[in-house]
Amino acid sequence: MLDRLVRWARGKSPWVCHLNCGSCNGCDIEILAALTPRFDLERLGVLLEGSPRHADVLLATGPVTRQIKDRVVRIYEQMAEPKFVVCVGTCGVSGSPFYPGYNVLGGVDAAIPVDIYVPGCPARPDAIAYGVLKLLATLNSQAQELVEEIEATRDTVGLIYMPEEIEEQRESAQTPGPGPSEN
Amino acid sequence: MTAAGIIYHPVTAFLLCMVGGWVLYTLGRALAPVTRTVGGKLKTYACGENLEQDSFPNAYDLFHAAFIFTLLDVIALVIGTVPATAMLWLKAGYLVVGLVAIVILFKD
Repeated sequence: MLDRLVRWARGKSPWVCHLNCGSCNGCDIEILAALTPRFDLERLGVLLEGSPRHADVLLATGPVTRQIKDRVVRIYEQMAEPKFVVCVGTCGVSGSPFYPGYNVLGGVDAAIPVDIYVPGCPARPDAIAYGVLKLLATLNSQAQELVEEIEATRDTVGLIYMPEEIEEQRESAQTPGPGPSEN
Repeated sequence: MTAAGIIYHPVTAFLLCMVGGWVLYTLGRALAPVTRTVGGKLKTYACGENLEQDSFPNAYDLFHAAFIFTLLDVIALVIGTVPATAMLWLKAGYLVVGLVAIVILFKD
């Protein structure tokens, strides 16, 4: 009973904290677009919070560099449990186009565990909203209904990736292809 | 004293607030996940920076004057909101205690 209450409350008011690991600000602007009235994530109770101490979800953009890594880890550690990370933008997903530069360690998951990946350069606000909804759908039935409605009315393939899908893609990218034809 | 008088008495209200606060605190503590104090969890939040312990000199200009006025404001507020039926020596006593506190704090 109490668990259900906590789950309901958490799903109804996820506070997000935005962390720019080294993004060009493209994805940051799109996060603002997702939060403000046009896409209006706030209607689902999502509130932008200044401090990770008060946040449930970390919206991280940009690649993780050697300089930022310790700070990203520290900020993640300072969030209260349970905590979730939504990685926004291609740089945050894979570190590209700067990876494997000497100073770039990779995407956000090079430093902290990520729950949802939202690719794009920049990521579209509707994709960010869909990613956050997908995260909320595990906690909140209203978000689950919205996700089902979105998936029924539009093509959502490639809008977001779950950690296992990203892992699969990375493995397949490392697998050598069939090689040049002998003809 | 009537039942309503007991219920609406400031002491009763204070005790009820204390009990309410304790219930909320206990409930929150029971529902919250177990805290993991790893890494920088308990460090001061400084936008991810590793803030080392430091001390800052207490060198606010006019701090003493501001503090005296704060105390005077509190004294004035308390005396101004004392019920009219309260005994006069209680108000006067609070005023005297407040002024003695100011003298002790700032005698140097």
